[in-house]
Amino acid sequence: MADPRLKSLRGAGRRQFIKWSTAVAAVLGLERSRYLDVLSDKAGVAMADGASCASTAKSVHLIGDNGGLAWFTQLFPYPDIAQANNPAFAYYANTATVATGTTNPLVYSPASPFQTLPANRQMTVFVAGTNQTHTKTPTSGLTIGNNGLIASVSAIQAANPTLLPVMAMNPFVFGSAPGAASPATVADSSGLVDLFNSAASKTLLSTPQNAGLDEAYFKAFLSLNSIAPRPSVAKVYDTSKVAVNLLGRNLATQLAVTAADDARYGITASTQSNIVEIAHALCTGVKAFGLGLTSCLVLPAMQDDPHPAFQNMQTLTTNVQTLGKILDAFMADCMALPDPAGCTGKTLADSMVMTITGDTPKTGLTRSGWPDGTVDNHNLVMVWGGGWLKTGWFGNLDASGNLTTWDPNTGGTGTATSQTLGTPAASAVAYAVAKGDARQVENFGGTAPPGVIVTNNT
Amino acid sequence: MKRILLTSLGATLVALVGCQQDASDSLTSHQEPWSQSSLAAGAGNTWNHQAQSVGGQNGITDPTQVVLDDQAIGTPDVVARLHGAQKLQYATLGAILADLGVDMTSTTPDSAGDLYATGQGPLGVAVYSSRVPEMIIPSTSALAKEYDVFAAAATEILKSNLATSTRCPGTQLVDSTGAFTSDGISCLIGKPAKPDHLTLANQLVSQAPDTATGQQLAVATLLAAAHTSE
Repeated sequence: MADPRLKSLRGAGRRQFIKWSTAVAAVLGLERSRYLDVLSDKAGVAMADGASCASTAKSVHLIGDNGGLAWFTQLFPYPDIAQANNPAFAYYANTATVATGTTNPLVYSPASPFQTLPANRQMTVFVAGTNQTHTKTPTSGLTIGNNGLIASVSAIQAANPTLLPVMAMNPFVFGSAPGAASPATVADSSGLVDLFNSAASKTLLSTPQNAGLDEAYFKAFLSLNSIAPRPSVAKVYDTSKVAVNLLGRNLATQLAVTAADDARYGITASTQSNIVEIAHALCTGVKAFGLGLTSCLVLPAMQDDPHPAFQNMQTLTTNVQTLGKILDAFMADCMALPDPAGCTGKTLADSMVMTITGDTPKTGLTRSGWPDGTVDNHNLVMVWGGGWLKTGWFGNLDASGNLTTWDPNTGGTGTATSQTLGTPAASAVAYAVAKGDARQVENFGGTAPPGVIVTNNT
Repeated sequence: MKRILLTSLGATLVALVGCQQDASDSLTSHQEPWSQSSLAAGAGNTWNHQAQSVGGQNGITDPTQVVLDDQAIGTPDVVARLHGAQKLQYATLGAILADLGVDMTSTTPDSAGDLYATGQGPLGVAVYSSRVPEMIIPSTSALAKEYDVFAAAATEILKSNLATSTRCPGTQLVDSTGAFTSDGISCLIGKPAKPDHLTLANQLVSQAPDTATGQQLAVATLLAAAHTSE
């Protein structure tokens, strides 16, 4: 029979109880299923369901360096700019649809993704960070206190270990944070597949017998190293055992992008290579997430400094439409896959956070030459918070060129500069990755976001 | 009072750091003779793991033996450097295999040289444009790629039977009966082979589907286990 005191635990107390009881079960050597049975009996089915879910979200970070972020302002446009219907403004369409139900204003362009999703699964866009035009590794919006946001995110995600905690395509921004994972870096999207496509698995270790011998004798030889018993090498030796296991597997066929994938992601023979890279990275990434191979994917986006984009409206429209299709297909894939942590009734989309940042969103006020400068040198942080963030725009650029910022305490209009709002925006991202555990945000130098900016998952 | 003490302690530390004559990348003060206690390798610090789970009397390694073991590794600064389980650097990996006679310039697909050259990303090479330094702690992908290179190198090493090795010329890895030699394994792993190395390597050959495969697996696993960290 459930204890009502345990059953009604909420927030941090509930999380602490789950963590504590999980640890006790581990110490007692209790099987996972048995532990969940006991939890279900004593604290209710909802608590047991919560304990079987991953406590952190997976994350994807698109870094639109060298002007790449500007493309995404066509998918998630400044609300006032999109609705002004001013042909001089840097907005490709002449229509805009107001999203309903979001906390703050949000409008869709014709190519915007996620239009069929509920209001709490829409984008959150923060006016935050600094314009860092033409930077290949823009840190704007990716710094939380003195730590790197993505490094902090990887440390938070360590609570739910995966084979390769962070997969990153060069160039990327990572930063540092206590307990951050080491990113497995690759040159391009095909490199993500190659991480799980060893030559040995196709030759010497192609049979289960050989792979088994390789793994067993590797461990035996490893134990002969005089340093093996020392605790200082334990972690690396554990990693090496995972690596040698990985060597004998070939997951390339499960991760590779197929023609059917390309069709769903809107990729054709004429799609620009920088857009194909995004599609293939996200497609491979979602498969890797689904197999529980990784927790975090970092990739560069566009990188093409699109000053002349509005000179060819057809190409611009095609590119924007394809980017929208890619994000829609990615989210559809996430929603089609069960939560890799085995959380009952949940999908990968319930454990997903996506950020889009960059060096400059370019100005929304002038399409001619699409200048890099932004009003008050502001920047943007776009987030798909998986239900953990209030949705819509925090801050605005109106049709007269006036920038409005937001108050990190009230969520309403504020007097803070975009530059000082970098950490509050990054804190909201970390909060979403930590699935509402504000203490994790503070652990990495962030500020616990108030309820007006974030929400409890429903 | 506590604040005053902390402030003065901090000021003293800053002053001491400022007085250092050596370059900031210098691990030691380069004083001769080496002062054991001044280094990470010295007694009383984390390297000096006397309380071992195995070895020594009652689980405690004899301090004299620890000193002897450290001296066998090298000078105290080398011992200190090897304290952490640092990833084998990219250049070092290439040098080790070239020393063993592996053609690291090969462009033949899936050869050791090819995997090495195309595996810079997973092997954690520095990316200067992203201001990402070479990985220090080995990641899963770095080790998996390293082991992949070793598996490919095993074929070449066995083919030449160390005849093209510059590390230990004249040494044979496999004798005329097809059995591994102790000297050959020592050459491979860069330290004296234990009897267990020899026994396990030959046992692996006997369990494999055929001798050639077994030998390749043995060489690959010996290399991998010996070079998991620096």
